[in-house]
Amino acid sequence: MSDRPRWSRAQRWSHQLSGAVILAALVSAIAMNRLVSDQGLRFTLYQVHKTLGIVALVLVLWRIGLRWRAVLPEPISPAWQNALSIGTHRLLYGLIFVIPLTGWALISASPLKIPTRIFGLLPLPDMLPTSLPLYLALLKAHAWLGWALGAVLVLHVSGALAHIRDGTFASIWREGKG
Amino acid sequence: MVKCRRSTLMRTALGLVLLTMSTGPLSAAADVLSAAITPANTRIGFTINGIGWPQTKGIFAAFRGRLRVDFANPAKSFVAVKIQAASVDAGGSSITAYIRSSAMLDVAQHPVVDFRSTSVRRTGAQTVALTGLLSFFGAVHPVTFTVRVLSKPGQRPLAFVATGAIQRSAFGFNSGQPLISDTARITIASIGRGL
Ligand code: HEM
Repeated sequence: MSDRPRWSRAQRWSHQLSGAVILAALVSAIAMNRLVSDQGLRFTLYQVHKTLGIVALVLVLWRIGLRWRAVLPEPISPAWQNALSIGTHRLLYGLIFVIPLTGWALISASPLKIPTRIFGLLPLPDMLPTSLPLYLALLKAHAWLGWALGAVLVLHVSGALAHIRDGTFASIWREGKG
Repeated sequence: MVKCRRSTLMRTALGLVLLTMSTGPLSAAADVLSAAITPANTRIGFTINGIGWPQTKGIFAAFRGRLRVDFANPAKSFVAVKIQAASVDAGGSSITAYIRSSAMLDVAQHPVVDFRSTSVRRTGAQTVALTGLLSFFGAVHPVTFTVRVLSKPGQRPLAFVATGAIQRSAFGFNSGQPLISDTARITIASIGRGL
């Protein structure tokens, strides 16, 4: 048990950080589009959402890099849960990579031309030419994928909580022997 | 009805006298009001509808103008206002900065919005149609405002609300279309100081 491979410190930190950033991106999306009526705050939340989303993209690229070379922990049991967890993780990586890209694409195609500055500083260039139909389609895709990510996250967290006793949860949550 | 052919000088003099007078019953002949339009007595606001974003509201905070109301002969009334475009305020620093920027109003290129009336026509007991030339975004086009007088006849201060709309495309101000609608509504409300 003591020699069981663990997630590295960098992996644990980047995991927790990207979890927080993604939750904040989802919360800001709901707030900016559905909860806040004050026009100034709403506009600011859009800017915050874009920064959070780009940070999530950078974090997932870093994490994919770390994961590439990592020694993976032992499979969980039963086997069907292991298969489910592998599927969930792949879906999570895919969504966390694709969603920010659709977000970036939609603001690029938008006729609004609202400048995007990451953390209010770093300008984000447009990756697409202005196109209303493309913008509307990307907007729909971005929002749907965003909600899908929320659903997959519920599954992911449920699985982690269901595997507290076998040390799976601890393997990502804190340092130590499994 | 006292119809008179007064000289412009006399009218101005009357206006000035009126301006210095306090409230009180006014004779029809002397019923001319001349006043400065400033942020102390006037609010200039706009609203624009959009898709995927609720109506955007804003105001212009810095402007200066003159108003001359001839109650006996409304057609002889006149208004001129100069607005500082950079004084636009949409209730938040980031959205306001965006509206000022070259993506929107481009206030660096078009610093002044100017309106001067060309005709005033009475349309009802408390309403007039006020047409004038609006120079905005490097173009000049006529705009008609519906002015509703809220104060009772002879009552001071005079209170009114003027509403009008512009088609942005007419001025070449097309940013954000069609997500942001072509029509921008303007509301000017005045009461108090000097009126
Ligand atoms: C992990 C990253 C992200 C997640 C989870 C996410 C999630 C969402 C969700 C769920 C919505 C829909 C909100 C609603 O309909 O109420 C949304 C909208 C939006 N997102 Fe993201 N997003 C992410 C990244 C990004 C990025 C990187 C950008 C741009 C750089 C972006 C720009 C936008 C914009 C502009 C909208 C609003 C569209 C509208 O006007 O309705 N998002 N996002």
